[in-house]
Amino acid sequence: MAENSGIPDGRFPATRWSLVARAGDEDPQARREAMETLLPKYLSALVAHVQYRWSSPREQAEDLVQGFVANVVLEKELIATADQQRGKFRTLLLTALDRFVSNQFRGQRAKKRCPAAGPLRPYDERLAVEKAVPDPSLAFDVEWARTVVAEALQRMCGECRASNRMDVWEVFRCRVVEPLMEGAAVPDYREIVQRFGFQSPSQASNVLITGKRMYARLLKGVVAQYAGGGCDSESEIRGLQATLARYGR
Amino acid sequence: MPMQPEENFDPLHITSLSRMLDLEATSHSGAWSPADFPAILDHQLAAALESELAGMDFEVSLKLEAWRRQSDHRLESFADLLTHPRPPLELLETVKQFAKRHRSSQDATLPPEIATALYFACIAVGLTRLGRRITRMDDDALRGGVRWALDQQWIDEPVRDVLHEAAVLLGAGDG
Repeated sequence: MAENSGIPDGRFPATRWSLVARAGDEDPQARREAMETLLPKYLSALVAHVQYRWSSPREQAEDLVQGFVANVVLEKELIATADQQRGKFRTLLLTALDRFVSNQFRGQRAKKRCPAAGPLRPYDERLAVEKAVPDPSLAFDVEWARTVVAEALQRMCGECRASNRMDVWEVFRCRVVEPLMEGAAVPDYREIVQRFGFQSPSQASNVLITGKRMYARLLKGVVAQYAGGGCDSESEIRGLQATLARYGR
Repeated sequence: MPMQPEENFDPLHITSLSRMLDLEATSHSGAWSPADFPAILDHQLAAALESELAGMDFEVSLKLEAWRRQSDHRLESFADLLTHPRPPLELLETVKQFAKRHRSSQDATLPPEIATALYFACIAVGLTRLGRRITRMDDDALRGGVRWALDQQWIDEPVRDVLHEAAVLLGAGDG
């Protein structure tokens, strides 16, 4: 169970500018420590981006991202060029990543024309064609949203367990999470009352409302933790929600 | 729960994530849907007066005990009160205040529609069983409220019965 300091699966692609700043530090030790903290949070979303935008199999996408991290982020010190005032860190990362992947595919094509230059890995020309996507960073945003939501839910479950209020978690899970995330039928009021033995509508509503408020608080907390001290977490969430809403149905 | 890319970009999945990020949808408002109203009203009518009103009147236990001793009829639940032939006026007013609080408070835990139905039901009981008007509303406003309540299909007996009696008394017809 991830608690306040935990990041499930080492993922979280939101910009934490304090870390970005340290990753661009002139002190190599500080730089390495910041990078070690910062990079794992982005890897999953970067891999998802390559998989989707470049129609890349998972393994190939992971190789490409590893290559990108080693050759561009670390060697060319990409993070040192990041500037909070110029926009989102993830935009900088994605632009550089796409340029790197494009160069890799171009290089593979050149090698294919000249086999003597070295061993060839199996390569499908189709993969080199950028997929027409409505928003190039959608893959990244979806992975980010998934991670944020998963972490908020994990924290909520942990908080409910710690405070011996699993009824709050269970009601929220069956009334909100399962219908929204898994397409489960929404249990009606009568089912909820029978299942949890509530004595009155006030009691049932209190539990559901407490769960909704707790989730909203934790969701904002997750975003605030990683998006920097000056971050307006509500705006961040609304912006991400609006982006996803445009492409959902 | 690792997801495959095709699952990640299914529009339904994106919609699910979007809804989970919708702070309004996951917040206080709209805890229940109108389809739940009949069950919520039934549950409220079956709820114990003593525990529900404890926050309104700290002496409610003692008062209820006294009223029960004076009455041949049960006085445990909201339904008992609304069907009582001579309900205690003070208890009726307390329940009306309980409903009023839920109609107007942002922290209310009852849907406002349920609270409004309960509010007018108390007034209707006061008029029809005790001949007392426990509201400062004029006849037009009162008729309007009773008519609104009678128009709600999810309101069933015993609330509908007493509202109907009050409507007749107020000259509001069959509602």
